[in-house]
Amino acid sequence: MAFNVLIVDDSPTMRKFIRKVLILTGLEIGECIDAGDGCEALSLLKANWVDIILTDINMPTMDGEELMRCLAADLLVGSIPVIVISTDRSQERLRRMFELGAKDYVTKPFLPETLGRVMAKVLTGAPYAGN
Amino acid sequence: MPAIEVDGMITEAVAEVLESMCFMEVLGDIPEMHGPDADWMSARLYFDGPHSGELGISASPSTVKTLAAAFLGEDMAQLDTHQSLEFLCELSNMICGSLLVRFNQNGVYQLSHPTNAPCYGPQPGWICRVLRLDNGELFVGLCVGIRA
Repeated sequence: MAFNVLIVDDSPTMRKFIRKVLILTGLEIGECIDAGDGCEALSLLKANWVDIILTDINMPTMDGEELMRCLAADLLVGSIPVIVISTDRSQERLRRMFELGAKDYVTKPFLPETLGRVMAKVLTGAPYAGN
Repeated sequence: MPAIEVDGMITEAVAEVLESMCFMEVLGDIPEMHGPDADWMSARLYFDGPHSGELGISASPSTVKTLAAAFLGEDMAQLDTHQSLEFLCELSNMICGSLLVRFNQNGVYQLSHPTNAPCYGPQPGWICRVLRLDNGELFVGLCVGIRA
């Protein structure tokens, strides 16, 4: 089964990097779409079904925390697992994001295998076999 | 926080980011401190939280391009100046995040959106380092205070 992914990050460079990393994970990736902030992400979700959302926190217009609140308030998209990818690794921020419903948290900088392992765990519950 | 400790934290933060995201090493620092050359590319951002301040990084266009190519897994010839500048912004963001957790592991910081504004050279109130990389030098300037 191929997994559709939504990447939410205000940095085009980071979105491109994550796309490359997704290929390296060895996971079967279907459609991969991206958004520059939370608003754009919600708009994309109206027309596209994804299996997982990878989101940054610090973004203009609508940040990752607000995006998580909006997702939680929507019965349909609220069930999509979210992994936070952020430079912010403070315990307080992690606690807040998990409270808002994040399934896992990857801090930048990260190795490709780290994202692969976390995504495999969230999507399949299976240990990461790598590529 | 003693400047000597911050010096070490800057090196650790840059090394962590470059080694994991660009597969490149920090080889050491340049003892003769100098500011960015006029043609170097720069990125700067502000942070606010338990500490507030500003971080800037700068490197020659060829160094930035090499790092960007390694980060994105692309051929250098495929990268234009715009992509290099965008990459430098993201690099400053990651270095800043890596540095701030060393200042305060539990602190929540707000980071501004990085811009490609020019970096200043060494000046009062700033802690500056020039780090030697495989493929050139990276200037890092940090101005930091503690919120009252």
